[in-house]
Amino acid sequence: MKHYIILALAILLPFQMWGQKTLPNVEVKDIDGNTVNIRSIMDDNVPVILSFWFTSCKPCLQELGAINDAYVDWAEEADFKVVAVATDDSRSSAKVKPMVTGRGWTDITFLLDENSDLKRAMNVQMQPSVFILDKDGNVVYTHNGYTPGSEEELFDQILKLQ
Amino acid sequence: MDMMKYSTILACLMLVTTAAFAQERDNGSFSAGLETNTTYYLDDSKTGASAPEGHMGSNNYLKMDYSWKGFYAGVQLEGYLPALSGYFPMNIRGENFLRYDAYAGYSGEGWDVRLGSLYEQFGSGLLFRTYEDRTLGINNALQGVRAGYTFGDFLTVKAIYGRVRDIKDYTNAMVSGADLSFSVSRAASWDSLEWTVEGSVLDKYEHVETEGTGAVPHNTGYSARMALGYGGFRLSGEYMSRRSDPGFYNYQDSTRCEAVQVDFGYTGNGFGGLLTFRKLKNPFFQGYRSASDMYTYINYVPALTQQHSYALATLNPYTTQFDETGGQADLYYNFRRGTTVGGRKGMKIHANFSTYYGGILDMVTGVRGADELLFRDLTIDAERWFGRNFKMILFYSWQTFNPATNGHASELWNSHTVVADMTYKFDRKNSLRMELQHLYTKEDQKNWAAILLEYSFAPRWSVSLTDMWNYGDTGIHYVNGNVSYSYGKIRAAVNAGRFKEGYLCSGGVCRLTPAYTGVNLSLVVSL
Repeated sequence: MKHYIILALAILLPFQMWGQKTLPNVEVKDIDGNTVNIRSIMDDNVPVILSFWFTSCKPCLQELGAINDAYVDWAEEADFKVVAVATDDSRSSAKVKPMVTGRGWTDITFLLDENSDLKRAMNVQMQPSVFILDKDGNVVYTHNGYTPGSEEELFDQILKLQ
Repeated sequence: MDMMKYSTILACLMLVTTAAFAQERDNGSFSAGLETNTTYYLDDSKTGASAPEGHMGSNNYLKMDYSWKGFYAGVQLEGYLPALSGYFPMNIRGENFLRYDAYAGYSGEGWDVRLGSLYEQFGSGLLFRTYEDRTLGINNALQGVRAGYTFGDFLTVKAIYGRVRDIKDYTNAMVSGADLSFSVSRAASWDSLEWTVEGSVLDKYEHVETEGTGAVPHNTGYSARMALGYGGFRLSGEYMSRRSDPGFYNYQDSTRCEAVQVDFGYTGNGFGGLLTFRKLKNPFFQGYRSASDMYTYINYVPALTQQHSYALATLNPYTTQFDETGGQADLYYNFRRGTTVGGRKGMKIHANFSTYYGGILDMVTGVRGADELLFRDLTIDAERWFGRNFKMILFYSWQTFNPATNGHASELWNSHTVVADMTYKFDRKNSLRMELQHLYTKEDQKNWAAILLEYSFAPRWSVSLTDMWNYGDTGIHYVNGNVSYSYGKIRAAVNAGRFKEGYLCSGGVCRLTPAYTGVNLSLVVSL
């Protein structure tokens, strides 16, 4: 078991040094169901907090709520945006828009990844998962899971990019 | 050593690809994920949980992706050493095996071409969907080719062809299909009205072994879809129709497969509402006729009910039935922050009601029973902050479950679940969360109570302790503890204790995870 993991990591490391992780060329949907390329989130040329969540993931809701609550203060100090990709499949993807409206999350851009194409391309294995992208779309920070207060670290990372 | 062989092949493959572009200044993008979910099982006379031979179960995944300009290539390696208890059919439980899937493609300038393992969904998946869900052990990717082209931003056409993946190898069935999606409003540059029209066709070819069963080699179907949006309103609908594929999995049902689903939603001013109606007749589609397990379905027919996350509300989940009519309604509302009701951060309320009727198929004779209630759930929850540091969620769910949908002959089960979920933040980093749950019912195992305590030290550590107690019948305490650590690209969690059996469901199919007592390690690395 242990050997397999070490072996796997040994294979991975050289590649990691070779090519940096960037935003892939994948189509997602906006909250109204229109197809858009994920790279369009970099059009504003500002750093992005990119979160992967789904409607029945409790820690994901905690995290997005905390980010949305803090956004007003953060936005005074830094120029960035928050994008949340819902990986809900057709069982619940229609609930995303009513839910985010009914939770008052107005400071976040929501996208739909109904068959997890983006989730797979970015190798998201658990949720919530958050990436911080610099203004060129390079992944500069990754965090898996949410604990109350861990959103502060996201903001610290955003400040470094200003 | 098999693993070595695979890894070497893999590494070579990747090196060749990368070396080919080595002269370029743009090195491309590399991403990878490594995951292990490993359990050491113990015998437990109280719950009757028995450890498998060797006491071990371990599901491992390594996925690597490389892309350069519009080109990409990737590989996923899976190792079951052996699979965790409850995964996969009897005949391969306890077996150590490895498998890999590879793919490569190009996307750009409107083109999308992919070779190898494919994930694709037409519409909502009623006609066709391939996807991966590691929690359930499902990966029904097609192995074949996909080609698609998008004209402007309003018309997309694509076609797929390939064979269906099974757990260890591939089935003999070949699937081909095409999908078209057209945005009338984008083509006509309308601003306020949105209108899309979509359609798909699909065929599964599978050789007929024995004549006279009603099975035919080609099972062809189609789906038609439309969506309209105006202001905060959105109306969408899908109709699916397909020639039946009488086989073991649908009790040799040879009647035509049909499904219709209509969604109507409204959002605005802190309010969101959604109404869904769905009617199904023999809707499931297996990758091969003799399949008896949940791992090879090639369409997706999920139960459209509230998906609960509190443990006691998930004891008897509803699964999609062969013959079902019903729907659900969801309402969300946010009382604004700064108002008396909303308090400091706004109060969020949500309600869901779902109900389904239909005739249950007799599992032996395949005869449809008379119409009856299959499932009903009324759930209400509210979330509010009190002051700066204390948050409370109150939850109530009233469920009526028909045990016959699960193969048990008995009266309807009524249950009432209440939950209080409280979080207190001591400071920026330290917080304590407590869940108190109670389930009241006169049926099945009668009353349950549960408590969870979770202490978090952000952003890295979290420790929790849970006790689920069936005090109405068995008296068993399901006690377990969890420690998790998250740092950048790595997350590790250890779970230890006694776990109740339960159903994990997807696309109308459920997997029973057996009760177990033991220690579980989950490690995720994302590069």
